[in-house]
Amino acid sequence: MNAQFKKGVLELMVLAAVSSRDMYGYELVAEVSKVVNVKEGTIYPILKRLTNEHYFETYLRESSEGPPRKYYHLTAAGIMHLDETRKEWKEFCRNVNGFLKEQGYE
Amino acid sequence: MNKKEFLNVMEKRLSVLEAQEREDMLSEYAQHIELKMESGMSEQEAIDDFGDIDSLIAEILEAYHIDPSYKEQQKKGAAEGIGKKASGMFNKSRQSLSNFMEQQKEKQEQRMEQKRKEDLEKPPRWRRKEEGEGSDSRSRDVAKAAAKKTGEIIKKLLIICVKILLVLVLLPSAFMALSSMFGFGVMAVLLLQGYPLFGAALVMLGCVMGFGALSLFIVTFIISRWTERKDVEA
Repeated sequence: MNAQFKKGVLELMVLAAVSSRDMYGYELVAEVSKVVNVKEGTIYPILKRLTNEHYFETYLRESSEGPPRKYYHLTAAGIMHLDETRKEWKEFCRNVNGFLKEQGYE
Repeated sequence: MNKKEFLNVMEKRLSVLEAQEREDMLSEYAQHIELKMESGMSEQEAIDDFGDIDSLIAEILEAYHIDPSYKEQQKKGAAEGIGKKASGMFNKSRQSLSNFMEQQKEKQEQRMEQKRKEDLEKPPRWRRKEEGEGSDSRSRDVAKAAAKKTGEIIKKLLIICVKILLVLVLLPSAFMALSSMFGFGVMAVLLLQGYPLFGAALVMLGCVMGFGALSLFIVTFIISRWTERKDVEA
């Protein structure tokens, strides 16, 4: 899949995944890569950026095995950002699909 | 590349980030590799899943809005190692000094620019003459400006010297004026009590007026020079 496609969508997917429940990095990577064939490392920079933009909060929680894990939690600003991004995405999809239909594909 | 090497390379390449942020990032990747290994992958496979480390680093830096190509310059600096750290302080002080010099130079240039503008505002005959001289006049202008500058400095020094001299005259004359005023007061009292001191009292009055006038004149002279200079500065 086109890398440029992924870049924009990954952010939306990460936001949506964390909105259902708090997750730690590895979990998120596993979840997202179930759907999109994504390179393992690319999720972390996105998480970092969204955290720096205050859409995520992080906290450490002990795990039964290994060191404590850093969990990501969606903030109020994050929820708003997710809503907005989802709307944008839907409109974008509708527009592109409409265009493709017009051109005789689909 | 094993886990340790991978993390080392990352740490070096992310040296532009704050220590806290870098640690954060590295711990995430370290944990990721550990969890992968727990799920039955080999260390090598886990790291290979990250793909090309260059593009990974570029992506991380991009998330911080840092231009990845900036690292190329940084790498050169890293080779200097410890020496760089040691010279850091020296460099800093040198930098601040050079910054200061730069500022001074800028100020000087601004001043010269203003001068030139003022020159341009002079009567047109002047300007025409200057324009006629062509391109070589510029260097002459600079020399002229420098000469003017030194002339101004000498002038200022002279003014300061004159002022110091004036103050040296002013202080004793003011003192004399005050003391003769006191003397005149004493004489006046004695005169009223019937002592024959009319002549001495007149002399004292003359001293008061003379020294008073002298010191007031000097004061007004200094003040007027001062305000004049202030006007020029403003």
